[in-house]
Amino acid sequence: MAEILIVDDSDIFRLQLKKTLEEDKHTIVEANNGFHGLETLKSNKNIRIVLCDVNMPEMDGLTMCKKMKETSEIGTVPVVMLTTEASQEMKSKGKELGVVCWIIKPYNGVKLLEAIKKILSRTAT
Amino acid sequence: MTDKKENLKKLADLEVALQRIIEEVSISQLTKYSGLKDLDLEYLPADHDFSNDHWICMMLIVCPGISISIRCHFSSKAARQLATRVLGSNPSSVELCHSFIGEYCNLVGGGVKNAFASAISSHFANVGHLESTIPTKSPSFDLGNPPSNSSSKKQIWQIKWTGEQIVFSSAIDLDEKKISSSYQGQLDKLIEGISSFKILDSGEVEWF
Repeated sequence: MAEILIVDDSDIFRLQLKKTLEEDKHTIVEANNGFHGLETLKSNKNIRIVLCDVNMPEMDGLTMCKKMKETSEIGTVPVVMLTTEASQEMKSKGKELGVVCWIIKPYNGVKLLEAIKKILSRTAT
Repeated sequence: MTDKKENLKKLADLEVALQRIIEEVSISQLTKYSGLKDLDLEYLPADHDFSNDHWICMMLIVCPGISISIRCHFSSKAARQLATRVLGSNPSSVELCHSFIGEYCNLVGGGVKNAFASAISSHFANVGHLESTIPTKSPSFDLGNPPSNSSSKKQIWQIKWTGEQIVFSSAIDLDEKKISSSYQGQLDKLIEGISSFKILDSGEVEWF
Protein backbone atom coordinates (compact mmCIF):
# COMPACT_ATOMS: atom_id res chain seq x y z
CA MET A 1 0.00 0.00 0.00
CA ALA A 2 1.21 3.50 -0.70
CA GLU A 3 1.05 7.17 0.13
CA ILE A 4 -0.94 8.92 -2.61
CA LEU A 5 -1.34 12.65 -3.27
CA ILE A 6 -4.73 13.88 -4.54
CA VAL A 7 -4.58 17.30 -6.23
CA ASP A 8 -8.07 18.65 -6.99
CA ASP A 9 -9.90 21.88 -6.16
CA SER A 10 -13.20 20.12 -5.42
CA ASP A 11 -13.62 19.30 -1.72
CA ILE A 12 -16.22 16.62 -2.32
CA PHE A 13 -14.22 14.99 -5.09
CA ARG A 14 -11.12 14.76 -2.87
CA LEU A 15 -13.19 13.29 -0.05
CA GLN A 16 -14.89 10.78 -2.33
CA LEU A 17 -11.57 9.71 -3.85
CA LYS A 18 -9.93 9.53 -0.43
CA LYS A 19 -12.66 7.12 0.75
CA THR A 20 -12.16 4.91 -2.31
CA LEU A 21 -8.39 4.78 -1.86
CA GLU A 22 -8.49 4.28 1.91
CA GLU A 23 -10.71 1.23 1.42
CA ASP A 24 -7.70 -0.22 -0.41
CA LYS A 25 -5.47 0.69 2.57
CA HIS A 26 -3.65 3.60 0.90
CA THR A 27 -2.62 6.66 2.87
CA ILE A 28 -3.87 9.94 1.42
CA VAL A 29 -2.37 13.42 1.29
CA GLU A 30 -4.43 16.25 -0.24
CA ALA A 31 -3.80 19.50 -2.09
CA ASN A 32 -6.40 21.83 -3.62
CA ASN A 33 -4.33 23.22 -6.51
CA GLY A 34 -1.11 22.58 -8.43
CA PHE A 35 0.93 25.03 -6.41
CA HIS A 36 -0.03 23.40 -3.12
CA GLY A 37 0.53 19.99 -4.78
CA LEU A 38 4.12 20.89 -5.66
CA GLU A 39 4.85 22.14 -2.16
CA THR A 40 3.40 18.95 -0.69
CA LEU A 41 5.48 16.76 -3.00
CA LYS A 42 8.68 18.61 -2.11
CA SER A 43 8.05 18.22 1.60
CA ASN A 44 6.90 14.59 1.56
CA LYS A 45 9.29 12.11 -0.03
CA ASN A 46 7.00 9.15 0.71
CA ILE A 47 4.43 10.03 -1.97
CA ARG A 48 4.42 7.25 -4.59
CA ILE A 49 1.64 8.42 -6.95
CA VAL A 50 -0.09 11.72 -7.77
CA LEU A 51 -3.75 11.80 -8.86
CA CYS A 52 -4.28 15.19 -10.41
CA ASP A 53 -7.04 17.31 -11.98
CA VAL A 54 -6.31 19.60 -14.94
CA ASN A 55 -8.38 22.75 -14.37
CA MET A 56 -7.63 24.30 -11.00
CA PRO A 57 -7.10 27.83 -9.68
CA GLU A 58 -3.58 29.10 -8.81
CA MET A 59 -1.82 26.41 -10.85
CA ASP A 60 -3.39 23.89 -13.24
CA GLY A 61 -2.47 20.22 -13.31
CA LEU A 62 -0.39 20.26 -16.50
CA THR A 63 1.69 23.20 -15.26
CA MET A 64 2.24 21.25 -12.06
CA CYS A 65 3.51 18.27 -14.12
CA LYS A 66 5.88 20.58 -16.02
CA LYS A 67 7.25 22.00 -12.76
CA MET A 68 7.62 18.47 -11.36
CA LYS A 69 9.62 17.44 -14.43
CA GLU A 70 11.93 20.42 -13.92
CA THR A 71 12.57 19.45 -10.31
CA SER A 72 14.81 16.39 -10.10
CA GLU A 73 13.78 15.24 -6.60
CA ILE A 74 10.08 14.91 -7.53
CA GLY A 75 10.27 14.48 -11.32
CA THR A 76 9.97 10.70 -11.27
CA VAL A 77 6.76 10.42 -9.19
CA PRO A 78 4.09 8.95 -11.54
CA VAL A 79 1.14 11.22 -12.31
CA VAL A 80 -2.38 10.05 -13.20
CA MET A 81 -4.64 12.75 -14.64
CA LEU A 82 -8.21 12.50 -13.38
CA THR A 83 -10.22 15.15 -15.20
CA THR A 84 -13.22 16.09 -17.33
CA GLU A 85 -10.84 17.14 -20.12
CA ALA A 86 -10.78 14.66 -22.97
CA SER A 87 -9.30 16.54 -25.93
CA GLN A 88 -6.39 14.99 -27.82
CA GLU A 89 -4.54 18.29 -27.48
CA MET A 90 -4.63 18.09 -23.68
CA LYS A 91 -3.75 14.40 -23.63
CA SER A 92 -0.78 14.99 -25.93
CA LYS A 93 0.48 17.72 -23.61
CA GLY A 94 0.11 15.34 -20.68
CA LYS A 95 1.95 12.57 -22.50
CA GLU A 96 4.83 14.94 -23.32
CA LEU A 97 5.04 15.88 -19.65
CA GLY A 98 5.31 12.26 -18.56
CA VAL A 99 1.74 11.61 -17.35
CA VAL A 100 1.36 7.82 -17.11
CA CYS A 101 -2.38 7.56 -17.72
CA TRP A 102 -5.52 9.62 -18.26
CA ILE A 103 -8.92 8.97 -16.67
CA ILE A 104 -12.09 10.88 -17.48
CA LYS A 105 -14.28 11.84 -14.51
CA PRO A 106 -16.39 10.49 -12.92
CA TYR A 107 -14.00 7.65 -12.12
CA ASN A 108 -14.76 3.96 -11.75
CA GLY A 109 -13.40 2.77 -8.38
CA VAL A 110 -12.45 -0.73 -9.52
CA LYS A 111 -10.62 0.47 -12.64
CA LEU A 112 -8.85 3.22 -10.74
CA LEU A 113 -7.60 0.86 -8.03
CA GLU A 114 -6.39 -1.59 -10.69
CA ALA A 115 -4.47 1.21 -12.41
CA ILE A 116 -2.86 2.23 -9.11
CA LYS A 117 -1.85 -1.37 -8.42
CA LYS A 118 -0.27 -1.59 -11.86
CA ILE A 119 1.69 1.65 -11.39
CA LEU A 120 2.89 0.58 -7.95
CA SER A 121 4.08 -2.79 -9.28
CA ARG A 122 6.04 -1.01 -12.02
CA THR A 123 7.74 1.34 -9.60
CA ALA A 124 8.33 -1.16 -6.77
CA THR A 125 11.88 -0.93 -5.46
CA MET B 1 -32.89 30.42 -50.25
CA THR B 2 -30.62 33.46 -50.13
CA ASP B 3 -27.17 33.14 -48.54
CA LYS B 4 -28.24 35.34 -45.65
CA LYS B 5 -31.34 33.24 -44.91
CA GLU B 6 -29.40 30.02 -45.30
CA ASN B 7 -26.77 31.25 -42.88
CA LEU B 8 -29.37 32.24 -40.30
CA LYS B 9 -30.94 28.80 -40.59
CA LYS B 10 -27.54 27.17 -39.99
CA LEU B 11 -26.94 29.32 -36.93
CA ALA B 12 -30.35 28.30 -35.60
CA ASP B 13 -29.48 24.64 -36.26
CA LEU B 14 -26.19 25.12 -34.41
CA GLU B 15 -28.05 26.56 -31.40
CA VAL B 16 -30.41 23.58 -31.39
CA ALA B 17 -27.49 21.10 -31.56
CA LEU B 18 -25.69 22.89 -28.73
CA GLN B 19 -28.80 23.05 -26.57
CA ARG B 20 -29.44 19.33 -27.09
CA ILE B 21 -25.89 18.48 -25.98
CA ILE B 22 -26.11 20.65 -22.85
CA GLU B 23 -29.41 19.03 -21.82
CA GLU B 24 -28.19 15.52 -22.58
CA VAL B 25 -24.96 16.04 -20.64
CA SER B 26 -26.83 17.59 -17.67
CA ILE B 27 -28.88 14.41 -17.33
CA SER B 28 -26.20 11.82 -18.09
CA GLN B 29 -23.58 13.32 -15.76
CA LEU B 30 -26.05 13.50 -12.87
CA THR B 31 -26.92 9.85 -13.43
CA LYS B 32 -23.25 8.82 -13.63
CA TYR B 33 -22.06 10.90 -10.71
CA SER B 34 -24.90 10.41 -8.23
CA GLY B 35 -26.18 7.03 -9.39
CA LEU B 36 -29.73 8.45 -9.58
CA LYS B 37 -31.85 6.80 -12.21
CA ASP B 38 -35.19 7.71 -13.80
CA LEU B 39 -34.52 11.43 -13.83
CA ASP B 40 -37.26 13.59 -15.34
CA LEU B 41 -36.52 16.63 -17.48
CA GLU B 42 -39.17 19.30 -17.61
CA TYR B 43 -38.83 22.58 -19.52
CA LEU B 44 -39.71 25.72 -17.62
CA PRO B 45 -40.96 29.00 -19.11
CA ALA B 46 -38.38 31.68 -19.96
CA ASP B 47 -39.87 33.97 -17.30
CA HIS B 48 -39.59 31.29 -14.61
CA ASP B 49 -39.64 32.79 -11.14
CA PHE B 50 -36.31 32.19 -9.41
CA SER B 51 -37.15 34.34 -6.41
CA ASN B 52 -36.72 31.57 -3.88
CA ASP B 53 -33.90 31.03 -1.47
CA HIS B 54 -31.44 29.08 -3.54
CA TRP B 55 -27.88 28.92 -4.77
CA ILE B 56 -26.38 29.18 -8.22
CA CYS B 57 -23.33 27.50 -9.66
CA MET B 58 -22.12 29.13 -12.88
CA MET B 59 -19.69 28.19 -15.60
CA LEU B 60 -18.75 29.70 -18.96
CA ILE B 61 -17.51 27.79 -21.99
CA VAL B 62 -16.05 29.74 -24.89
CA CYS B 63 -14.74 28.78 -28.29
CA PRO B 64 -14.29 31.02 -31.32
CA GLY B 65 -17.58 32.78 -32.05
CA ILE B 66 -19.54 30.76 -29.48
CA SER B 67 -20.14 31.50 -25.83
CA ILE B 68 -22.19 29.28 -23.55
CA SER B 69 -23.19 30.13 -20.01
CA ILE B 70 -24.56 27.32 -17.87
CA ARG B 71 -26.12 27.72 -14.44
CA CYS B 72 -27.33 25.19 -11.96
CA HIS B 73 -29.89 26.55 -9.50
CA PHE B 74 -30.15 24.45 -6.38
CA SER B 75 -31.26 24.36 -2.78
CA SER B 76 -28.96 23.17 0.02
CA LYS B 77 -31.46 20.36 0.66
CA ALA B 78 -31.14 18.99 -2.88
CA ALA B 79 -27.34 19.38 -2.74
CA ARG B 80 -27.21 17.49 0.57
CA GLN B 81 -29.30 14.65 -0.81
CA LEU B 82 -26.97 14.29 -3.82
CA ALA B 83 -23.75 14.64 -1.80
CA THR B 84 -24.99 11.99 0.65
CA ARG B 85 -25.48 9.56 -2.24
CA VAL B 86 -21.92 10.13 -3.48
CA LEU B 87 -20.22 9.94 -0.07
CA GLY B 88 -22.39 7.21 1.39
CA SER B 89 -22.91 9.30 4.54
CA ASN B 90 -24.32 12.68 5.53
CA PRO B 91 -21.74 15.40 4.65
CA SER B 92 -20.23 17.20 7.63
CA SER B 93 -20.86 20.70 6.28
CA VAL B 94 -23.16 22.59 3.93
CA GLU B 95 -20.08 23.68 1.95
CA LEU B 96 -19.35 20.05 1.18
CA CYS B 97 -22.93 19.65 -0.09
CA HIS B 98 -22.53 22.69 -2.33
CA SER B 99 -19.21 21.29 -3.51
CA PHE B 100 -21.17 18.42 -5.08
CA ILE B 101 -22.98 20.90 -7.35
CA GLY B 102 -19.66 22.56 -8.25
CA GLU B 103 -18.20 19.24 -9.32
CA TYR B 104 -21.40 18.31 -11.15
CA CYS B 105 -21.28 21.59 -13.13
CA ASN B 106 -17.64 20.86 -13.86
CA LEU B 107 -18.69 17.49 -15.32
CA VAL B 108 -21.44 19.12 -17.41
CA GLY B 109 -19.13 21.89 -18.67
CA GLY B 110 -16.45 19.30 -19.42
CA GLY B 111 -18.93 17.23 -21.42
CA VAL B 112 -19.98 20.25 -23.51
CA LYS B 113 -16.35 21.23 -24.03
CA ASN B 114 -15.52 17.69 -25.17
CA ALA B 115 -18.35 17.84 -27.74
CA PHE B 116 -16.74 20.97 -29.20
CA ALA B 117 -13.27 19.46 -29.08
CA SER B 118 -14.47 16.36 -30.88
CA ALA B 119 -16.33 18.32 -33.60
CA ILE B 120 -13.45 20.71 -34.14
CA SER B 121 -10.66 18.13 -34.23
CA SER B 122 -12.55 16.05 -36.82
CA HIS B 123 -13.11 18.85 -39.30
CA PHE B 124 -11.07 21.94 -38.57
CA ALA B 125 -7.43 22.82 -38.08
CA ASN B 126 -6.24 25.75 -35.99
CA VAL B 127 -9.69 27.04 -35.08
CA GLY B 128 -8.47 28.45 -31.79
CA HIS B 129 -8.66 27.65 -28.14
CA LEU B 130 -11.53 26.19 -26.20
CA GLU B 131 -11.74 27.76 -22.79
CA SER B 132 -13.87 27.32 -19.73
CA THR B 133 -14.08 28.89 -16.31
CA ILE B 134 -13.89 27.01 -13.05
CA PRO B 135 -17.45 26.70 -11.64
CA THR B 136 -18.30 29.35 -9.07
CA LYS B 137 -21.06 29.14 -6.51
CA SER B 138 -22.97 32.06 -5.06
CA PRO B 139 -26.14 32.63 -3.06
CA SER B 140 -29.05 34.04 -4.99
CA PHE B 141 -32.57 35.23 -4.31
CA ASP B 142 -33.72 36.86 -7.50
CA LEU B 143 -30.69 36.94 -9.79
CA GLY B 144 -31.40 33.60 -11.34
CA ASN B 145 -31.90 34.37 -14.99
CA PRO B 146 -28.93 33.83 -17.29
CA PRO B 147 -27.07 37.05 -18.15
CA SER B 148 -26.85 37.41 -21.90
CA ASN B 149 -27.70 39.51 -24.91
CA SER B 150 -31.29 39.79 -25.98
CA SER B 151 -30.42 37.66 -29.00
CA SER B 152 -29.12 34.77 -26.87
CA LYS B 153 -30.86 31.44 -27.05
CA LYS B 154 -32.00 30.76 -23.49
CA GLN B 155 -33.44 27.60 -22.06
CA ILE B 156 -34.48 26.61 -18.56
CA TRP B 157 -35.18 23.07 -17.47
CA GLN B 158 -35.73 21.19 -14.29
CA ILE B 159 -34.24 17.82 -13.45
CA LYS B 160 -36.44 15.96 -10.99
CA TRP B 161 -36.08 12.81 -8.97
CA THR B 162 -38.10 11.47 -6.07
CA GLY B 163 -38.70 14.31 -3.65
CA GLU B 164 -36.17 16.83 -5.01
CA GLN B 165 -35.05 18.75 -8.07
CA ILE B 166 -32.45 21.12 -9.46
CA VAL B 167 -32.94 23.69 -12.19
CA PHE B 168 -30.56 24.26 -15.06
CA SER B 169 -30.43 27.27 -17.33
CA SER B 170 -28.26 28.02 -20.31
CA ALA B 171 -27.64 30.93 -22.63
CA ILE B 172 -25.94 30.46 -25.99
CA ASP B 173 -24.46 33.47 -27.78
CA LEU B 174 -23.30 33.17 -31.37
CA ASP B 175 -21.17 35.76 -33.16
CA GLU B 176 -22.07 35.37 -36.82
CA LYS B 177 -18.95 37.11 -38.18
CA LYS B 178 -16.49 35.24 -35.98
CA ILE B 179 -18.18 31.92 -36.68
CA SER B 180 -18.04 32.54 -40.40
CA SER B 181 -14.31 33.31 -40.35
CA SER B 182 -13.30 30.69 -37.76
CA TYR B 183 -15.04 27.73 -39.35
CA GLN B 184 -14.19 28.67 -42.92
CA GLY B 185 -17.84 28.83 -43.95
CA GLN B 186 -18.30 25.15 -43.11
CA LEU B 187 -20.86 25.46 -40.38
CA ASP B 188 -22.56 22.24 -41.57
CA LYS B 189 -19.54 20.25 -40.45
CA LEU B 190 -19.50 21.86 -37.02
CA ILE B 191 -23.24 21.17 -36.60
CA GLU B 192 -22.78 17.58 -37.78
CA GLY B 193 -19.83 17.06 -35.42
CA ILE B 194 -21.74 18.40 -32.40
CA SER B 195 -24.97 16.57 -33.30
CA SER B 196 -23.21 13.23 -33.70
CA PHE B 197 -21.16 13.55 -30.50
CA LYS B 198 -21.63 10.62 -28.16
CA ILE B 199 -21.04 11.31 -24.49
CA LEU B 200 -17.74 9.73 -23.53
CA ASP B 201 -17.44 6.68 -21.32
CA SER B 202 -16.01 7.93 -18.08
CA GLY B 203 -13.72 5.96 -15.82
CA GLU B 204 -11.78 4.19 -18.58
CA VAL B 205 -8.01 4.25 -18.10
CA GLU B 206 -6.02 5.41 -21.12
CA TRP B 207 -2.36 4.43 -20.75
CA PHE B 208 0.41 6.49 -22.37
